[in-house]
Amino acid sequence: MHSRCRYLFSPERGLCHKLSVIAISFLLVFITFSFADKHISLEDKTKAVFMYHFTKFIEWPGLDSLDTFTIGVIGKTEMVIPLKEIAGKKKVGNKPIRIRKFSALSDSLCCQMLFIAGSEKHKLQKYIKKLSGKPVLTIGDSPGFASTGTDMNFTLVNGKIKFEINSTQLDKTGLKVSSQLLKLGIFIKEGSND
Amino acid sequence: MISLKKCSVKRKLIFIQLITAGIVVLFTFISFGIYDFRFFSSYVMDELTSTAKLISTNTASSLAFKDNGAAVEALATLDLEEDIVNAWIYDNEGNLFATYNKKGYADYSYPLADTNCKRVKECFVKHTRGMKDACVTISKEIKIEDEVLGMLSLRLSLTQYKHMAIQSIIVTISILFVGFAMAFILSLYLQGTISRPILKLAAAGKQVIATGDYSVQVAKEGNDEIGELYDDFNKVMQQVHLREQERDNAEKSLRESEERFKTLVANIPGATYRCANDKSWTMEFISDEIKHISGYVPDDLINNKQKSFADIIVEEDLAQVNALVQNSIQNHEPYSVEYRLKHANGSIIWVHDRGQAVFKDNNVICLDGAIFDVTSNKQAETLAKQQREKLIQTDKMSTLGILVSGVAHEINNPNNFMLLNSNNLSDIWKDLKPMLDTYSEEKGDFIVAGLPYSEIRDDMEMLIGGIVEGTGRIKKIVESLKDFARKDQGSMNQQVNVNTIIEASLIIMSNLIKKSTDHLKVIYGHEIPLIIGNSQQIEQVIINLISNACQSLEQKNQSVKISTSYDKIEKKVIISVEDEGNGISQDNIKHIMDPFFTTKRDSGGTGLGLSISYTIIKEHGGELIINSEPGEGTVARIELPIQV
Repeated sequence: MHSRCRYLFSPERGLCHKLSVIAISFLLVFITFSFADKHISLEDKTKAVFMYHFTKFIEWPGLDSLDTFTIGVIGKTEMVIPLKEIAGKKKVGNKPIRIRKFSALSDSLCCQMLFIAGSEKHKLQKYIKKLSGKPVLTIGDSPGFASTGTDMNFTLVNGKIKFEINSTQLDKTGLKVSSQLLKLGIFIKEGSND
Repeated sequence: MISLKKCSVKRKLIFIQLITAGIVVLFTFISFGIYDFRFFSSYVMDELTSTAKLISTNTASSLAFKDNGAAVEALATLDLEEDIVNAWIYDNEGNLFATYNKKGYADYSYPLADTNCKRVKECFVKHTRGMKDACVTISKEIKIEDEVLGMLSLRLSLTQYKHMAIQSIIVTISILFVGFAMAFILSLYLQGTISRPILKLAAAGKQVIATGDYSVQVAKEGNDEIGELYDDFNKVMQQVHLREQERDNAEKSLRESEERFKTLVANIPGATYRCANDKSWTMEFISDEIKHISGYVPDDLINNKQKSFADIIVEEDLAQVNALVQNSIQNHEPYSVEYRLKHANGSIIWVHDRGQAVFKDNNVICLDGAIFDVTSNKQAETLAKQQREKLIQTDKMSTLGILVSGVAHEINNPNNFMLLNSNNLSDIWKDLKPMLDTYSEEKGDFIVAGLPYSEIRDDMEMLIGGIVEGTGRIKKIVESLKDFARKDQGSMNQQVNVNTIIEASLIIMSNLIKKSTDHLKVIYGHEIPLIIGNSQQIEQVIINLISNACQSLEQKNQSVKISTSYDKIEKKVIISVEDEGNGISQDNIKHIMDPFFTTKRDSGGTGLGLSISYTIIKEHGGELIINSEPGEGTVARIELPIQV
């Protein structure tokens, strides 16, 4: 990087060249940001904030021994972007937040919270089986996910984002969830169609 | 405080105790009030803060997950809190997230944007919308861990607390009044322990003043300072009593001494005095006797109240008195002076003043002396002097009478020869003169006694006439002298009617009267008693007086008035001869009764007329008084007693 910079801004180069390099750089950055912004909806942003707030109402066992608080994202979704934005600013307890995008669920689980996009509807059962009994909060993003087996699931009620809670699954995770959080959630029984 | 000074000890004590109790009770009241208020405030705030804490905790998740329905539900629990009437939750953007209004308080909106509470973590804003709606608002951040999610504001109505506070104040004031009343009753009862002995002492003092009895002793009630005051009071009263007794004794002896002195002074025949050595002789003291002397009481003269002593001294004597007294003072000698005082009734009093100056450090402090009334002495002295003079006069007269009768006899005999012979000589000359004339015509002029006859012839008659006149005059004088010195001439037992004598005298003197005046007035008095005496002698006196009156007139239009009257009181017959003539000078009037004193010696006056008249009237026991002023005429007045 250092040598490259020297190369780019070496005194042997002409001024016109220098300016053109800077202008192209600015253009690239602008295009990237405007592109990214375009694809992140307010809904996703709110969901990301909700996810961050969940961490505050839940006691994470063994958090102290971890280096980072990892939030995993699986499926076709742009949630990684708003989550990363939050992760850049906030912490959970005193741990920095790491956002990981999974393409497939490996055996070795390395996250505390897993966002499962609506695209993973078919693989959901497989994921639930794999994570069952592990202290990982699974958050679905499609109707019926909670009744299928995720611990929580985002849903829209009267245009407002709410979250469903599958208390049966939640109990299995061993996570201690605050009553403050529980009272706001919509409780879903496993196997129901909601 | 001024009015308190006038108050009795009892009232003062009650007042002091009440003030003390009042201040203590008030201080306690204020202290408790302040304490209560603070306690109450912190209690209210603590309650409000803990409620706010609870609500913020309960609503934090609602805010985090933007579930305002849940927040409203959480706020609805405030229904249990009676005093919290409004609640608001704002999110981080300042948007109202959830509200809560108790029934009846919905109209109240809390404009968070206008307060500073947005920036501070916790603050109290007190809103007062009238006394009925006093309230406190608390704002608190809603946080999860350290992250601020929004703001909670709670509004607390103070109405209930206000009622409590009013009740508390009423109870406290009641206690205050009860306490104050108790303090009053206690002070009323307890002040007696101090005020009673003081008032007792004061009463004793008043009794002493009222009765003047210093033997009063007060029984003390305790051994405190007031007891000591009683002891001191008793000691002082004892001492005063003793002194009073001594003073009474001294006063008694002084009074006795004064009485003795007064008696002494009163018995002194003169007025004793003490006066200042000034121009008015200002009296410091003068005894009552001055009233008898001058008619003025001592109070009139002391300190020149009515008159100064100098004012009542006759002006002509004042300078002399002053000079004499000052001279005596200079020589440090007592003075003794006689002068006249003007009595209050207008009469003149002769006084004798004896005194002495009192010195201190060679300065005159005052004059002490006594004034004696010597008027009667003076009158007696004057009378004695007059009598002595009369005696001398009488003696002189009698001696003169003896002398005169001797001389008259001795002169009368040779004069008779001369008178007889001078007439003879005149007759001889009358006869000789024609013969000598014939002789000188025939023989010519001849020398007689060294002078030519022709010269002597004309003078001879005059010479002889002179001898005749001279001897005639000698005869007249001698006869008058005989009259003056006569002894037992005629009877003094005749009954004399003075009017008849005057009539006779006027006939005798008619010639002279006619020559002298055209205005003779004679007034005969009625019922004039007869007097006992010698009518010829009285006639002689009247003739003499008429003659004198006529001779004094200068013009015929000047009058002579003769009158008789009777003084029934004095039992005297009065004969008065008045003229409007030239009068008698002061120098001459002293001598008119002297024998041979005359102002008319040139016109044949012998100077014996009045002298003889005086003697005659005296022999009749009467008085001959001559009053005259030069140019004013003369009044001759004869006073004859009806019995000698």
